[in-house]
Amino acid sequence: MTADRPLLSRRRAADAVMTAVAWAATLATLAVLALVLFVVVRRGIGSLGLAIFTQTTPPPGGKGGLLNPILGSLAMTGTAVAAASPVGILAGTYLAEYGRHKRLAQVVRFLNDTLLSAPSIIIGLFVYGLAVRPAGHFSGWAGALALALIALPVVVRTTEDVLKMVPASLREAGIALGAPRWRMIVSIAWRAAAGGIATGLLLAVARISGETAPLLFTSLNNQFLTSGLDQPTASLPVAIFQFAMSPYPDWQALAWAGALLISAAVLLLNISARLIAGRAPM
Amino acid sequence: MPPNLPKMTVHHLNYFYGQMQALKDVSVAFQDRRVTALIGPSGCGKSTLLRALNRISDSPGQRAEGEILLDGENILRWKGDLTGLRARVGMVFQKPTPFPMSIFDNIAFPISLYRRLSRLQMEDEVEQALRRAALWDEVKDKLRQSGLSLSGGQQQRLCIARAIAIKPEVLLLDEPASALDPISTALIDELVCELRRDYCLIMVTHNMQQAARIGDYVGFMYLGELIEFGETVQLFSNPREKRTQDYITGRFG
Repeated sequence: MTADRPLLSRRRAADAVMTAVAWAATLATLAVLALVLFVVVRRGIGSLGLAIFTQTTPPPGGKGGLLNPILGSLAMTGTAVAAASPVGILAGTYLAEYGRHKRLAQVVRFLNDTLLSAPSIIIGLFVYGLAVRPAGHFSGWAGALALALIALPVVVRTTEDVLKMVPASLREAGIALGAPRWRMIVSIAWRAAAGGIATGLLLAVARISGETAPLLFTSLNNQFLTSGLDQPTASLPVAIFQFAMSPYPDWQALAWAGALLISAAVLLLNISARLIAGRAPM
Repeated sequence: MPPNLPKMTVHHLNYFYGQMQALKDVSVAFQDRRVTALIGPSGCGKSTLLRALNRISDSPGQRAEGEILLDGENILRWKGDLTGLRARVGMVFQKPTPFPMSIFDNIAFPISLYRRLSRLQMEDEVEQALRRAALWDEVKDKLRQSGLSLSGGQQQRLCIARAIAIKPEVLLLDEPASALDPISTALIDELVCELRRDYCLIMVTHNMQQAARIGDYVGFMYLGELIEFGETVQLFSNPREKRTQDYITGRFG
């Protein structure tokens, strides 16, 4: 058959145009990210010193660091993930392994998706009503609870998704050997999905480590180092919010340093998640 | 040759997936210490029959009528926990399915489902199973490596080792070599012939040469019915049924 030359060249032209458009869109997206990172690094790197990690937040005009917000963020994020992980992994396991075609699972899945897309400020207000008002004061525990509620649907969703990617043949092989269902799930399905589940947890950490709105209603802020989570607790996002809105150059510099810290941490978490997902045995 | 004894007997088995009837009045006896090959075109019900034998496809919407006897006991009547059935009737699938764990743990996992063993006893059991599956020499120096690091043929022998590690009485093989290259297939065939000394082996295969080579008995299935069943030589050289004749001479299928 002889080729229809005009048709072929038209297709080639369309191909070239579409490829160029796709490239341009990719570059535009990357450029935004690069610009944000560039500005954050340029403005933040100067104030980044040992003092940031060793001194607490200063009064206006004073010298200080970000020790209390850093520790507060670590404590609240850690508590939130520690609470959300077991619940989220078990719920995701229910959805993927037991409830695939059950009505209850459909309802749970729908509610989880709703929670996943709920504005975080709503979560903050909810925890304010649930934990802050009855207690009479803001606290780190309330902040951790709010963050846990944001992390939970992420963990549920990723756990369900990666468990569904475990081949049915692997489950069948386990059942055929006489393994009870729970044993098959724990020893085979979870293991096959371990990389993906870990990725989900890291993404949940990344998601909540930058949350500000829910903390404004729950942990609020604290100028001093606290010994536990039962008092108002400083966090990096809220500290950045407070310092960036202030008219004092010292505080603004600290806000940039904090922004750099969070960006670097989230970037690192995302890269680790990628690496783990990349070499997960499936 | 030891005397032939039926290990599993199927009586008038009808099997349904919802409205669709996949098996129609199938009756057959599987002899102990023999290889029975089930052949037939795709969708003829041979895999359904095999999977019914250890009830692996038990799920809502599927229904079996008739009897499947294991040493005279009707396994279709077993309720609840089927662990005891699967301990006696093992299964190897078409695609190798090594678990995402080390070669050693792939074998140790099923053993640990049934028995609590000391480390040394377990090492001994794992070695025995791997030896029986003719895999020991190839993996003895890398037992800690992932089962997924093995080649396809080795993975399939690992799955056979895993199935015989729990010392079943019947071994079901669902096209165990169809995803493998000719050399790996030959190794699997050799292994099946070797295992015949101790097990009742039932194998589904698309490959008629394989059925002729290693089957003692062959059953030809078509559209959910067992059309003909007999000794391999007789069925291939002198089939009673025209449909069998047509299938083995390649006129359809």
